[in-house]
Amino acid sequence: MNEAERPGGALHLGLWMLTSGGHIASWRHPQTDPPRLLSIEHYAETARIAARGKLDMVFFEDTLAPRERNGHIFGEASINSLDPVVQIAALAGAVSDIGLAASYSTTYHSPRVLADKFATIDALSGGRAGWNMVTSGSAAGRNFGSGKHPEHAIRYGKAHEMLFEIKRLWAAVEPSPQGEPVLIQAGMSQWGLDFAATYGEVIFAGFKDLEMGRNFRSNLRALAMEKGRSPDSIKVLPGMMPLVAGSEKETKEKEDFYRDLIHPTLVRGMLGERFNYDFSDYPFDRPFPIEEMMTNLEERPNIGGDRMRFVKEIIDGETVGSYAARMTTKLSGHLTVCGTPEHVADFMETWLKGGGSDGFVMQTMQAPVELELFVDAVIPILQKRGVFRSDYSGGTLRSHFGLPAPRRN
Amino acid sequence: MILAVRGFGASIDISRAEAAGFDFVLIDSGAPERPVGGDALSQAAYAMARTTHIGLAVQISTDWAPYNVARALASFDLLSGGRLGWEPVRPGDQSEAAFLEHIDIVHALFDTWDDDALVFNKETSIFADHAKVRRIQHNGAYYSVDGPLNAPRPIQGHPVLFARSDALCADIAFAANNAQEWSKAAKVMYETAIHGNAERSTREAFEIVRAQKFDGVCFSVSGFGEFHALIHAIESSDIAKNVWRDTISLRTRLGLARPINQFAVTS
Repeated sequence: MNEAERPGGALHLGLWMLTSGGHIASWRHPQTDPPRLLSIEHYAETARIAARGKLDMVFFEDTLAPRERNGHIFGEASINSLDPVVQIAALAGAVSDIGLAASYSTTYHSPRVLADKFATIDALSGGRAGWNMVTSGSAAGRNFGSGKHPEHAIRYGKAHEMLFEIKRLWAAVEPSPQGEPVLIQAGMSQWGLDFAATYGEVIFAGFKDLEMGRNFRSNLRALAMEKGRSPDSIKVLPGMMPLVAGSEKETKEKEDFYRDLIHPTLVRGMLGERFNYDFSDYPFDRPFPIEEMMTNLEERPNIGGDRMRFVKEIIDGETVGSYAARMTTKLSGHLTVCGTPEHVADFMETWLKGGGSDGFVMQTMQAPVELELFVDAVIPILQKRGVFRSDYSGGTLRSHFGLPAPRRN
Repeated sequence: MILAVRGFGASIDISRAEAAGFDFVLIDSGAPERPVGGDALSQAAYAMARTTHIGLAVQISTDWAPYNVARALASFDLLSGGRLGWEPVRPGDQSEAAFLEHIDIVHALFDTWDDDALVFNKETSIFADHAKVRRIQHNGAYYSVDGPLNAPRPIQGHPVLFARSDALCADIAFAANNAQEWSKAAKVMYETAIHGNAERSTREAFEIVRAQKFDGVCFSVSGFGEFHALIHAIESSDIAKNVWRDTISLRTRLGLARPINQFAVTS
């Protein structure tokens, strides 16, 4: 086995924090108190549970326009995200040890704003900050129209020029305990593998199966070596959603419970969002109005990707109800593993030892209840098997991930 | 009397200011070309969960796009229980007209959600009522912004607006003298630095506040030493301080009315 294919020694885990959890209807969970999703106490409590489980980091995504369907905000779903940088700055003052990462757009923030905010949070947190470099989708554009604003986006048309400027600003000030914030990138983003192999330290990815993960990871590690980097200086984390239950029977009940949280009104809203077509009153026992739908099939706002991939999922002549049942059966768009704590731990260990990933960026069905269950039931198994840390060995995000000092320009 | 302290984030211990009875702190953003690492909003956010009732105000440069400003401020105000204030700062290369348009857009974006837009009805599966959320479709001389904001309306309606210029309809203006000249602001605070002896500086400031009928005083400090001298002077003075235990919005604390929503038909 060559170095590029070598599996990771230790598992790394990020918690992808969404308001009440990764399940679209988790705000309807009996133990979710929706008004609390707007208070810092909710996020601090969730992050403290993640820190008790010795996770590497919590991570917040960024959206610059509300989710919409049929020309209105998607009122059946929870708010998608508050400002993630305000959230991690507040958590730096509220929660110890755990890393704090956020996406922030390179399209709509200048290099100076990005460098300033992440350097500030890195200093305040004692070297626990991470930045997921993202560009923003088309839906956000209409909130940022001005003669002046996109200037830096044009000037820094190439992502590496922008990053060069940010690293120049970081290098001019006293370094934090970890030197510089950890750079995160979605590996399948438009910036591509080359950028990830040059600058990326933690790479988020979406994999269908272990083989796809193994190919991606060994390619990326080989590319990094070509660029003079140690392959272990890049950690690949696919998205993952565990559903933990006490037995097979309980697993089935829990899956049904989460499916039932998806109210028919939400199903119609999700369909409307997917196909940009109003399904509010459309009979579920009829096939899709494909021709009519195709006339209005513009790019999907702010979630990314084109709507054609959803149209392709429709089986010929299938009723709307049948498609909807398949849509809601799939509990998440990530790797989903449902079962006992041992089963979930097996799944994670298989990916790690099979070289498919260095860990996961994980959503929980609900937060904090399902996170607490994961931390109390699954983490001890992983620790006992020696694949996950029993305690933090350092105080910085870089040390949690076992990453080297940052590369300077 | 409203009592406040302002300075760079590195000069101010916000928990200490809260314990000493200050109504709010104002974190200065510094010059545009200062070294990175002193973001005022992040520094104030860091104190959010470490304090319970002190107001947290920040300078924000309006070279940051209005949508970003509105989203960050709304998020902060919601998460902190309504304790945010802000002083917009106009960059040198921005016209007064662009500056004013920027602030109008931020306020309009705060109003894209009605106060009662969040329904949270688990039975009917309606989180938010989309009829109470709207676009602004702003197309002005300097900016075009569609909306709506992707954050609900701030707890305070709008975070408290501070200004040193009368061009803005600020909630609170800072002035070095003559409170009566400030026609537009709801309240005017005397702004002064700590010179030499902090006890004498604070005593003199309180006399000016009383004589010129200011609503309060904001002391600016240039370093940690001055901040601690100020804290000591305030703690040993006989000035009446507001004592709070629970979270309270900055508007309530300062006796400011909550702005009505410019678009709402329902609330």
